This record gives sequence, structure tokens and C-alpha cells, in this order.
Amino acid sequence: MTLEYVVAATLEWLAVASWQLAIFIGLVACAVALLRKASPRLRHGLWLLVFIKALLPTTLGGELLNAPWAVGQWGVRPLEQQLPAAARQFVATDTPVESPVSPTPAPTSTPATQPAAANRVDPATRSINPYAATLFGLWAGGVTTVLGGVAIGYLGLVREVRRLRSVEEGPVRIALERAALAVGVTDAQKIDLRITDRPAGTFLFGVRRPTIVLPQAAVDQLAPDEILGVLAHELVHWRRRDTLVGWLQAVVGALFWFHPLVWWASARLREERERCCDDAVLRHAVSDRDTYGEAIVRSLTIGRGRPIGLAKPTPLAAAGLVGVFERGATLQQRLEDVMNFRPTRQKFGWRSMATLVLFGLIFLPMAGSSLAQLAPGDTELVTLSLDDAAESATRIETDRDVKVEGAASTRITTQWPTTVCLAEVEKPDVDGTQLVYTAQVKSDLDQSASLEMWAHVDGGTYFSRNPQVAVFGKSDWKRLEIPFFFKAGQRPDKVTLNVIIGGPGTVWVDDIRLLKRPLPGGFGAAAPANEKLSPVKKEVADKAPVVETPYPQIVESIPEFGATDVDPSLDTIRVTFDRDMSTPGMSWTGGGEDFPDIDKSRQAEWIDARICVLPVRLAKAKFYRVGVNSKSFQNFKSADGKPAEHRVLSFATAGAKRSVQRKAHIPEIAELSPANGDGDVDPDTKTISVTFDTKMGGGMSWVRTGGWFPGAEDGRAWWSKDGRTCTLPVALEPGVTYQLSLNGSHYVNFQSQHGVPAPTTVWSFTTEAE
Amino acid sequence: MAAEKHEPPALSPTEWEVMKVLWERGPLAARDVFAGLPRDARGKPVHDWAYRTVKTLLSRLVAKGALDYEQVGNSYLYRAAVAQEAMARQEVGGLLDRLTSHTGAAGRKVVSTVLAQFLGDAELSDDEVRQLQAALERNRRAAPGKPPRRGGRSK
Repeated sequence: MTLEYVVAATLEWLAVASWQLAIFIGLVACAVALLRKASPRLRHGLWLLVFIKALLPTTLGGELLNAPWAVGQWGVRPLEQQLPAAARQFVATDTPVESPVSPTPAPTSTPATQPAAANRVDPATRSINPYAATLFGLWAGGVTTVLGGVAIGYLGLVREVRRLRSVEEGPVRIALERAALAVGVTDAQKIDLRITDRPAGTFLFGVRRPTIVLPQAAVDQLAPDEILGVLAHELVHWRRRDTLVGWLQAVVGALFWFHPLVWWASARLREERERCCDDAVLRHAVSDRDTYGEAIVRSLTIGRGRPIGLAKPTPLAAAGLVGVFERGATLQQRLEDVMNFRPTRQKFGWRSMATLVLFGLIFLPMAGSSLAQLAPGDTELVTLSLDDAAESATRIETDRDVKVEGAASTRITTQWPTTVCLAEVEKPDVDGTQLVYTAQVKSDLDQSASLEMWAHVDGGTYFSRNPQVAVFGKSDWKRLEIPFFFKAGQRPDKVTLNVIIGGPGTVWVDDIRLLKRPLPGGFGAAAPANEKLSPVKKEVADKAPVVETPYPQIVESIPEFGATDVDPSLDTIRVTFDRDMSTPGMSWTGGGEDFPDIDKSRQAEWIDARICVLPVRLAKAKFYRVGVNSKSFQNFKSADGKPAEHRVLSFATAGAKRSVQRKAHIPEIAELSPANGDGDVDPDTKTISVTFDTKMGGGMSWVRTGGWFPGAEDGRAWWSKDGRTCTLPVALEPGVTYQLSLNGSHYVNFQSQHGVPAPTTVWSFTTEAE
Repeated sequence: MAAEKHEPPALSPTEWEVMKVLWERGPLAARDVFAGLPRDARGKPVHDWAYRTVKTLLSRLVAKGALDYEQVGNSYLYRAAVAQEAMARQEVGGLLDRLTSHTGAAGRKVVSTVLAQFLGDAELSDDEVRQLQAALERNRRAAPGKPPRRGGRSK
């Protein structure tokens, strides 16, 4: 648990608890005013609830008490807003950090991609808000002062009391026993009775080993019945364990030393405590009203107005003792109560108990789990109370005005990229066929919207999506369609039909259909048709001639892709795109030890519309891997909203061993079988294969380009044992030109074992005619 | 300060132990009561009581009216304020009351059985046997045809 966490969590708790306490004290004060003729025990119980409330969680209501009952969060800013400006911008610019992409074996029918990684911000980028630190320091200082004062006062009192004469027999001790019998205290033998020669009030002191201190002047000047009343009063304090409550008051008073209402409630609790004891003494007829009232007044005069009389008369020392009268008590009101006591009134019966329990049950839990405290180690970035459904950013509604068929369409309004599940279909009968998900889609978006289909097959989950088959920006109704290919024997347990929305705006979906269609002899998701054609052994992608693509490309980077002698003093990573980009959005992705340390004193920023820099601190002889966009984070996008290609910038700093340098190597294709551009491939060829020059990670992205795809119906690609050659079963026909792509702009699972993707390579060949 | 003399108070077993010392040995200071508490064959106190506990018990017994005390110099001399016989009668009476209350004839039968058992086990002198016979005779004459009274408390 870090200091910043403690500071933030403590201040938040204090703020919420202070609000709640203020409200609760107000409620108790109202209840006490209404119950002024009730038993003092009931009023005391209500005030005691204040101090119990102070130490209870602020979210006692659990899940039952969310808005509008949840109170106490007012004026407490979300933690994210307490971050320093630099860190806040870091969060606000949505710079995601994704786990390193480890190649995952893909099902043969889809390009494999990694699941979205959680958004993460390095906690080190946050620091303690100076105002928060000052506030916390003030509070902690106050707590220390109050608790220190209590401790010093208490220890001084302990020393003083130990010096006093203990009375174990004789008339005063017998009076104590007599008082104990009268008020029903059965364990009076535990009580140490001590006499002081100094002017003092009579008081009870201690929790485990109680001591009653009685001034000698009281013994000399009070009548036996008066002494009996005074001692009975202290014995009732002992029976009620009021000294324990005194410590509770001290602890809560220390924690909320700044809260005047808590001090006020503490004084009211002390008053009611005395009235409870008066009530018990008179109810047991230990003394008559006049004698007892006189005993209180004479105790005050004997103590010369000081409740304690020993050590320094500091109120902080009063934590562990209770006396016949308390400092600041309204004596006149108390004497009026004594004089007007009627044993038949103000009983603490079941009605009083029920009132107390009911009050506690209703008002103690003021808030629910929506204000839940953070678990140790968690760092809260943003709080969404979700009091308003609009906060959740996505609304799904029926639109009866905009439709292509039937009575209405489904309208989805979102504030950010999202995927919405529209339907699930159990066990569709598609064995050995093509399943086609088609829907009419209309959009009013900054980005695009496309379809996505998930299939649960044989315990695995696979998906099909095609970002190029989409509606873009403001678009009228358009029928979109994506296929999924099932081999013979493959029967999906369930198919999920989604719509992917790339950014804020509105999408209408109507007329969804799920079709069964014969297999065409190809499979996989489509890739842009204008991917770069490459030879068998092509140059590294970033060195290749730039071809105009529908999506932004990186045309230059510092350091270069795959560089192995990067100067460790390089303090920024820079990428240059081929077109104007949408600023300030960016998605530097990656994570783990291969992701460079971010220089927190500077910010990632756009230098101009095409160049973006990431401030870093590099180490010597180390391999680094920085992603530009990813499947889940695509904030590098063109000014017209098209996400940039997913690239991984791998490099090693100077001085690295060869084994480290090899990690930065960009995999190259060593061999294609059949060769790229081969014009007389035997139509009986059953497999095609690609061999890389390095061991690969095991994932693969065979991507459709729009031409004939050569994959066999029941083919599942596999890797050779050395991890370099990937083979795909095919079913070829004579006289056909086939085309496919190894990796694509957004599918890059042909990666080295160190997570460096192979450049996108379009592969084409033609079979012999019959 | 003398306690008012009312009906003998109910005593706890620990208070009985203290009272027995005072009944046996007459007026004593707290220290002597502490020394007079029963000991086992090896001379060790049967009860693990502190001296302070004994003084507290004495104060409580005074408060209950079972003891009187007087100050002699700096110490206090305690003496029993109720006779042992009266206290015993009170205790037995209370016991019989508890056994027979609200149980009618069945309860009375239990009492007579217990009494017969008790008399059978007790080692009584001739004089004590004669006193018992005289008491039974008085009881029969006082209420002819009625069952004996439930408790053994004397008025």
C-alpha cells in the first residue's frame, strides 16, 4: 500500500464520514428533542450511536442502499481529478498500454487476434496532490495532538491515583458495598476505593481495574445518605461501563478533531450519561431526591468546580473517567430532572429499545457499495456512479421512425468505441457449410461500424469480422455481410452476433439474418485488396515503397524498425505517418519489461499533424518493443477517422548481445511454396507453406485479399516442429489464380517468438490449366 | 455504626465461609478472620482468597446486616449480628420453600422423604431426638387433621 493511496483513501473517508456524521448528528439531535420526556437511557443510546457510526464503514448499506439513499459523497472529487495535470493528461489522452502480444494459434477459419487488454496506467506516473498532502498532514497532526493530550493526561492521572490511600474496610467501604447492594452491582469487590486529601470531585476511573476516587472532604462533610448517593452514582457508571464509552469518545474525538459537531455530540453524550446514573440512583431509592440533589451540589463545591481535581484539570484527561458531574454540564437542568423525578415515568422498556434499534437500522447505513472503499493495492482512476444511464455511454433503443423493414429498427447511441451483442443463436445447423451473418446497417458516426460473429465450437471460441465491410461516417442503409466457415463435423454450440462501433455516434441495425450457404472453397476474413504485393524475399516493410492505403501507415520511425544499435541516450521515440492524423489521440501499446520506461517529466505529444513522439528513458544493451495501435486500442487514426495499421516497433540499444539483438529481428520470409507469382502450380497440390528465417511464435494470420482463397474446406494449418514453417491444406482447381496475404493491416499474428510481426506479404500463384 | 436488625439476609457460599469463622471464634479483626479460614490437611487455605477479598467480604456482610463492627484504634472488630441458628433456619426454610412451592401434595411428599432420609443419616444425641419428637408433637397439636406446614421457618 503506497503513501499516496493512504493519503487519498484517508481524505476520502474523512470527507464522506464527516458529511455522514453531520447528518447523523442532526438526526439524533432532532430525535432527542422529540424524546425529551423519554428515558435518559434512550437519549444516551441515540448519542452513543453517533460514536459507533463514526467508526463504522461509510458504505454500511451494502448493495441495498445505493442512490438516492447513498449520502456523503458530496464535495468529494473523483480521485482522477486529484491527479497532477501531467498524469491527468496521460490518462485523458487515452494512451493505452497493452500486454505484449504473444502469438496465439489461430483457428483456420479466422485471423487470430489477442483479446483486449485492460487499460493500465503506470502508478508511478501519479504523485501526491500537494493540497491533499497538506490536508493529510494537518489532520494527522491534529490526531496526534489530541491522542497525545489524552495519553499524557491519563498517565498523569494514573500516577496520581496510585499515590492515593486505598480504603479496604471501614465505614466508607461499607457505604460502597451498601450502595452496590442498593443499585444491584454484584461485582463491587473489583472496585478499588481511594481517598484523596485534595479538593476533587468524586469520580470512577479505569476500565478493567476500576477505581473510585472520593475526596476526604466528602467523607467529612457529606451525610451518610449523601455519600451513599454519590457512591451509588459511580457504581452505576461502572455497571454501565461508561469509562469504556469515554475511550470511544476520545478515539472518535481525536479522529474528527476538526468536526465541531462531534465535540458537541460528545458533550451531549456526557450529559445524558449523568442523567442515566441519576435516574438509576433515584429509581433504586438509594437516596431521596432532595438528599441526592444536595449531594451533587456539595460534590461540586467540595471539588471546587473541578470534576477531577487531580493532575491538570484538562478535559482531555477525562477520557478514562466519569464523575458525579462533568465539565460544562448544564447543572440546573440536571437538578431540575432530579427534583422532578417520578419512578413511574421515563422507564427504559421494550418501546425504548425498539425505538433505538429502529433508529440505528434506518439511519446508520447511509450509503451503499457504490461508495465502496478501495481494496489495498487498487488504484482508482475514475468513479462512475451510474446514477444516470447516460454515463454508461451506450444506449440501445427501438427506433420506429428509421427502419428498412418491420415496425422498427434498433438504434445504438454511443460516446466511444463499443461492441454490442445483438443476438445469440443456439446450435445452428451449419455442419460443413458457410454461416453468413448479414444485417442492414445505417450510421451517423465519426468512425465506422461493422459486423462481428463469434462461434463456440468444440470448447473453443472463434470469431469472424471484417473492418472493411462496414458503414463509414454518415451512411444510409447498407447491407453488411460476414461469413464463417465450418468444416464437416464442426457444429457450433452457439453463435453470437455483434455490431462493432468504432467511435461516438449512432448506428441503426435492422433486418438481421443468419444464412447457411455452401462453402466456396475458401475461408478467412477479407483483407484490403490493395495490400502490397511482395516477392518471396522482400525487403523489410518500412523500407519498401509506400503504397497508398485506405488506412494511415508509418513512413518513418526513430529508431528504425528492427534497429540493433540504438543510442541509449535517445530520449524520444518518434513515428511519422503518411497523412495528417487525428490529434491528440494516440495508442502506444505494449507493456511488461520490453516496453520502455516512460519519462514522466515530459508528455507524449504530437509535434505536428503527422509526427508523434513518446518520451522514454532507454537502458543500454536492452531489447524494446513498442506497439502502434493494437486490436483493442486504435487512437492513432487519420484526420478522417481511419485507424492506422497495427505495427510493432522493435529495436535493441547499443551494446546488446547477439541473443538480445536477435529479439529485435523482423521475421523475413525465407521460402514460399509455391513461389510467389508461380504460374504453373500443380492443381493436385494439397498444401502450401511459408518458411520464415527465424523461429516464430505459433500464431498465424492467413488473410483473404479479395481474390480466390486457396484454403481447403477441412484444412487446419500447422507449424513445423522448428517453428519456422507454417503449412496450410488447400484444395486447388486448375487454371485459377489464387491470392492471399500473410498478415494484414490489422491482423499480425505471424510474429517472431519475441512478438515482432512479419511484414504484410501478399502471395499469389496460378494453377496449371487442364 | 450498627446494622439495622431485620430478617436475616441471604448469603452467598463465600459469605457463609466468613460467617462460620466469626460464629465459631467470636469477634475478630479482618486479619484474624483471614487466618481462621478453613485449611486442608497440609495447612494450606482451602480458598484462594486474598486478604483484600476477605476485607471486602466483611464490608459487604456489614452492609447486608449480617455483621456488626466497631473501630478499635486503627482496625475494626467484626462480630456476627445474626445467630447461626437463625441463618441456618433461614437457609433451610428457603430451600424447602423452593422445593414445595406450587407443587402441592407431591412437593410435601418430597420434603417428608428428604427429611426422613436426613434424620436417618444424621447422628443425633438422645436429647436432640427428644427435641425433635417434642417439635413434631407440637406441630400435630397445633393443626390437627392438617398436614404439617410446608417450610421449617420459625416466626
